[in-house]
Amino acid sequence: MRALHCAVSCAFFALVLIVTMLVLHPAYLLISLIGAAGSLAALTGLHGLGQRLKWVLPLMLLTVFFNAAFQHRGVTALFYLHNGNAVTLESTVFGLCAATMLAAAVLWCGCMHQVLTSDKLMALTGWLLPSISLLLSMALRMVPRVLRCLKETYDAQKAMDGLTGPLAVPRRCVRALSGTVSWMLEHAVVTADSMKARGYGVGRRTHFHRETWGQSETLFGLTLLVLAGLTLLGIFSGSGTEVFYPSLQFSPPTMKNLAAWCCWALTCALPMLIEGKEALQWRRSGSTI
Amino acid sequence: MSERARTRFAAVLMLVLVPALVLLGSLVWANRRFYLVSILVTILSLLPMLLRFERRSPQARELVILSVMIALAVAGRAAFSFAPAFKPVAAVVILSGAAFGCEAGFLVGAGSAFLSNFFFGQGPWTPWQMLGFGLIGFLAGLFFAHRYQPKRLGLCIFGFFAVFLLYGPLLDVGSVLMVSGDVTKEAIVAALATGVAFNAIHGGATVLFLALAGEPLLRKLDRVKIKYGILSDAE
Repeated sequence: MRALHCAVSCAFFALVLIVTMLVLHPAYLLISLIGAAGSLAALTGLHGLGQRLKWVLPLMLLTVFFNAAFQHRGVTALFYLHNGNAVTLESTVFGLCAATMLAAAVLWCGCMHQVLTSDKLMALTGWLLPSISLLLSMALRMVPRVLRCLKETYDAQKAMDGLTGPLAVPRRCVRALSGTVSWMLEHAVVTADSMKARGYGVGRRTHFHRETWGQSETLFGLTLLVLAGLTLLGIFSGSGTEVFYPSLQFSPPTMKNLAAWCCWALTCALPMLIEGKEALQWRRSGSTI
Repeated sequence: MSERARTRFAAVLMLVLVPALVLLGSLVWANRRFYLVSILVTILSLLPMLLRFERRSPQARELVILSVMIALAVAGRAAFSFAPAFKPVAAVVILSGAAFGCEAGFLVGAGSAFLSNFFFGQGPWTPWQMLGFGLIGFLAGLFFAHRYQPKRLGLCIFGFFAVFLLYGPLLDVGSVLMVSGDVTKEAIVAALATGVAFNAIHGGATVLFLALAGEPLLRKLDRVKIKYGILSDAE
């Protein structure tokens, strides 16, 4: 998945995130959540998934609680609170769905974070927003430099100022910050002049990216196109409609709807399939050497 | 375009276009998709500023100075990563807006929120943070950019209220939209109430950073601005 061209992986995540946020049908959400969790596990290992789940699960609980406690619509009352408001089945189910949606979205974002690294994102935005992406990539490169400058100026201050007392550290920090800022700003102007001398702004900017469009990209892109088309067709033909209030109504699991859900499941399983195939290939190549 | 006309144009974009988008979103998507609509509106409301910046093909000096300010904000957030509410990002954004104007403030705010989340984790909250810090930078430009060396007290008061009344509540309401599909008054009040302590600490931290480093940093930025004629009328 990481080796794929950033355009196809970006299209994949856009599709998955939009469908996850758009369709609140329990079947779609569960498939999305399982797919997201599986993909994250395939990309980062079970440890990475566990790290995320540690705070996603409390978030889910909070969401269910939030909806059950503050939303009193719906016709099926489960029990009554002491102030006379009802906790309804509908709002609880809605809370469950919203929680699943949120968790799936967060986990998909986690996968995206693994696949679309900052350099790929910059290459992707490079043709759309060239100045912004240049600005951000320069800033990204300057973060470690700023931290290093801060440390250097702080150490130099410490060696020569001879301050003591409780206010010594904050005062030194402010001085170090102030020194770093002038240093970085002067340096920035030199960089800018150098850019200008090398012809910045004369023609169209070109971009460095290592991605090539090969057979696997075409294959993945076509598969994604077909699956996306079928999934969207299924959604618009009513396999993912849901009504929460006043009473629950979901699309039933008929043959047609099941087929649409299968398409969505296949879409969500794509990262797992790719990672699995790569792992298998790796193992096989290892045994023959 | 002069600084003044630029400010006016940017103000129209922010004050007219964003509410119009919110209205459109609620009319077209009237069926409880607050989450998706809110994220789309947030992203769309970021776009005009970015595209405008793109269209006037900025000078190299401008780009590099802005990237230094963004890097400062991100490095500051990383340096204080052990205390989530205690971060200097808002202070850096306010100083950029005050020194270089509305547009620069907005870009530094949105950019530092976006980039710092590469270190702290991207998620559905990223567009909200971008908009929140972007607005703070924009307002700082609106209030302070036309003055020569604004006073420390004014900066501190602005910093506290911008974080406590604008950024914090915006993110709190954003989290309500994230966790509950049906927005009720009680839910929003509860979220705002639970966020008061966090926002107060964040606002206090901003005041502290502005009080300690505000004036010296502004002097430095002004010096660079005058010395090299960057991001001013004479460019």
